Amino acid sequence: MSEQQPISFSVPEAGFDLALLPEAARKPGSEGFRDAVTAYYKDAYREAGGRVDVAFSEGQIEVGWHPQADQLPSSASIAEHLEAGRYAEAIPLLRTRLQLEPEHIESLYNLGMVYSDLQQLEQALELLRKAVELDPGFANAQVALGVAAIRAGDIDMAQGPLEKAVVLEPRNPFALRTLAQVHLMRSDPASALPHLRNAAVVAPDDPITLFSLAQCILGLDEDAASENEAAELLDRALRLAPSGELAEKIKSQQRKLAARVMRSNASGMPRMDVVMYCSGALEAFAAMDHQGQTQLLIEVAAVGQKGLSINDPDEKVYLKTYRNGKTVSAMQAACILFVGAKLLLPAQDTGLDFEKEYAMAQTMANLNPNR
Amino acid sequence: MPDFAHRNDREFLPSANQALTDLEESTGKPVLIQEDLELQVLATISRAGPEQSSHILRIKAGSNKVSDYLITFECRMALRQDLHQGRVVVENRQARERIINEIEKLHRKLPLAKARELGKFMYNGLIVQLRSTGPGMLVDLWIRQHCPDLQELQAGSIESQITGNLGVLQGGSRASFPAQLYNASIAMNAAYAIFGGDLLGKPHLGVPYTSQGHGATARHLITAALGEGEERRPDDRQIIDAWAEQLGILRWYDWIEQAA
Repeated sequence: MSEQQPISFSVPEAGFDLALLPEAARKPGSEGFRDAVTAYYKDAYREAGGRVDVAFSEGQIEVGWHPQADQLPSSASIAEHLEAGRYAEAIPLLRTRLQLEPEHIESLYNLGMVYSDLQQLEQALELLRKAVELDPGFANAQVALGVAAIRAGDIDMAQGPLEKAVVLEPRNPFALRTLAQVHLMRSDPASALPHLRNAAVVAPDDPITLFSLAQCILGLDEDAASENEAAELLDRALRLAPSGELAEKIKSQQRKLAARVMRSNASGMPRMDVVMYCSGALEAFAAMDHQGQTQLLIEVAAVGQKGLSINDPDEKVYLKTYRNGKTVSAMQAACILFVGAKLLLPAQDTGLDFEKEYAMAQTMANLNPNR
Repeated sequence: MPDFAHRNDREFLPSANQALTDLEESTGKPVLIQEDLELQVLATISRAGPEQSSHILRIKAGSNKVSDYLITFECRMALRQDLHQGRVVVENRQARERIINEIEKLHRKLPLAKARELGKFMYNGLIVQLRSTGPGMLVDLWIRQHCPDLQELQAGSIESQITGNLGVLQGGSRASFPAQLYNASIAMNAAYAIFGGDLLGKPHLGVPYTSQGHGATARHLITAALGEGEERRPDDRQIIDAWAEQLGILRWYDWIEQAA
């Protein structure tokens, strides 16, 4: 006998086949309609045994059929669905399990995690709270509750469970990292730092931890040693996560760090080479029509995406659309990107801080309007 | 290069073994097996053409428990290709473009390239569903009657497939698809669920569809697939064309001569 699988589906009230109902009960939304629909489904599943739930909500009929307890799917099959990310199949199995065993901690935890991933945060928080009430020593459930609270935007609620998780499992990297994240969200990098350092020791190959640690260090100190350590952490993180959303964040942070180092090397003064590059870029953009400007910005932004080592004078890039094709330094390319973004996408954060130099270049352009 | 396994590298249930032997003997070419984590369906077979030395059977990794049933199913489906009278279904470009255009209109916030990709995916998915669901019923019926060692695996796989398909009935799904494509797909899912319920003795599997009025169309489709008894089974081309006509998608694909 193969394993019986629960069934759950929804039907718009207006989509139910009225011919299946007595004539007097064919008005969707009416009490008679709902009673008749409920009776229809109970009858349709009668032979299969088990239990039928029918609920009506916002014009939808929600139907669930749950096999008898001895026909229940095993925990192994639920785990298989969860590991494969097949949440749509795992949810009805977990719900069924909880209907029969409302205090089954593993199912509370798993269903809470699933809802949290699906951003159904109220349900996630309710299930995970119940899981930690029943078993306060369940560290992973404490972490999951903290994560769900962060996702719900309530960092006050998140902190307690995460602190408990770190006490329960001091070497749990996810707990450490998430607690640090709460401190960072409170603009308190000093409290985050020890947790992130511990997390980086137990999970040295986790790019998120390395990235967070770099951010934290940069938020605390401005000395060269800290900048070097952060740069090294960012390099390691990018090697571990070379593409995707995290990689873009790392690259953006690298650009900011490079600009900061540049600024620090110039002792806070505007750099004249940057002023000149911005000035040249302003001139080049002014000589182009809108389409040409856009093409240049797209080209230089694509170059920037790959990463520009603006403190390396030897790094050169070729820009096909800049002054009919020109090889420029990485710093000059960054200036063209900055100026282009200022002119065409003023709300865009390029991750570069050339404001002072750009302002001077603009002043120069105004002094020499016929250049 | 993907990792392939030859059939001698693992043990199969007798029915799967027989299906592999039948396919290899019928075509004179071996079957290579590849487990693929990225596969969108449970299993699929590429029957060797004149220039290929082997048939390639791809199975979704992690579906081990049901793989012997899937191997049997796919081999028997491949053997049925001999009944296509040397012709194969290919996409109809105009129909595909029409679907892509509708997707672009439905999902205006999607970048154009993504919308095209989604449109192609949906169109291809429907054609695969059309090409495989009806003929697959005959194969499943045959397996039920001739392969006692696969009964439980077959039941589990069919039931999983039916319950998995229910997600498309969710409230938000309908608005995401072009109406004609959605209706055709739901009707085929309904036919499969009702057929599966009949085959496994679990009529409740079809309830989600019959309660929404899909029962009559589903029954027409099942009859078109199974024909009038064992002596008068239709071939795949007859099934596919009859289904397409019933679903209003007859011009969505073309039949072409298969390369010799």
